[in-house]
Amino acid sequence: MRPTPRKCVIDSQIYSAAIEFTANLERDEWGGIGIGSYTKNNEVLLKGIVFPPQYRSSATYCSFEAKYLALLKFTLGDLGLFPQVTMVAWVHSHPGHGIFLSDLDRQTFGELIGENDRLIAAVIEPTQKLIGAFSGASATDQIEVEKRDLLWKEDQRIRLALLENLLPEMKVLVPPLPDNCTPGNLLETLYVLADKIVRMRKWLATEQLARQASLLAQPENEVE
Amino acid sequence: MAKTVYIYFAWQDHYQTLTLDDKQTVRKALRAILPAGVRSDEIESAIDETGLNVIDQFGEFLHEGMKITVSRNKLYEGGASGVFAITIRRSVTVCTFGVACLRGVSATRP
Repeated sequence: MRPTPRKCVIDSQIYSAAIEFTANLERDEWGGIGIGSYTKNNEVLLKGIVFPPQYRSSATYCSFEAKYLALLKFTLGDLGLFPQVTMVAWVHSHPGHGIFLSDLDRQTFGELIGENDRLIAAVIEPTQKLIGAFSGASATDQIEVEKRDLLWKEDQRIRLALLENLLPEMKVLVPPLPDNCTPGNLLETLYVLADKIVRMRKWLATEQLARQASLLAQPENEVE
Repeated sequence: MAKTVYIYFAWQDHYQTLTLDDKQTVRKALRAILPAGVRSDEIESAIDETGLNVIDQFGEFLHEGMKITVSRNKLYEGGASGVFAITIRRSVTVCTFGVACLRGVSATRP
């Protein structure tokens, strides 16, 4: 077994977005999947969080279906991000309860660690504006969490930003497209991917249809 | 015409191929390759690359080499409910004690 991570570095934008998202759910808990990579120093770099629709959620419970994890893995593969970017954390919120793992949390973590033996469990506490992380086979060790502006390869950031469009049924928290991203760069990536991704083709078709529909609506507006 | 699709069993992170004909549903074809100990009625969904549940679709609507994710009725659960259970248990203990006291008081009354 590979050594377990000793530190979790969360992209600053993702940290804030995760706190904001989980703070606006009427104090219900919400579960999801953290995606990112590892450094040679055994740190987890949390680059994004994906929240599937919740099967059930309340002030003290949340659950999501396994199929969404599989869908996310396929999509990361289709975007050419896997295995550089993979599931690195099981994430859920504890609004108002504090940073800890309950027995149920540890049980779920035990099932998920089979997917990745370096998995960590991250707990978001929106009322305290904190995120905590746990590592180890039974997630017994609380590890340091650091907020940092992570550096990105432009191509990887574009691909990650596209995740939101490919998984419309999920809440996807990833950094936005880079400021210096030109339409040329974007199109290049899109066309490389569109060749092989059915979901991407569907999305492009819908976008194109929407654009055509708005163009068709234009003359009528002008007449009015 | 027979088609071969890729099946991904989500609960055990395992890929397998499945060949089905035009008139077979995914559910029916799956029976032949389900891992031991898994019944077909335990299968909740078979999601294609577009996110569509194709469990009851016929082979004729699928395309060769398609990737399909098969899920059991499995949930990933989290929650702080353990903490609340302890709180409730404590208050129940307090209540029982209170009732006992009241009964005791009542018994000593003339």
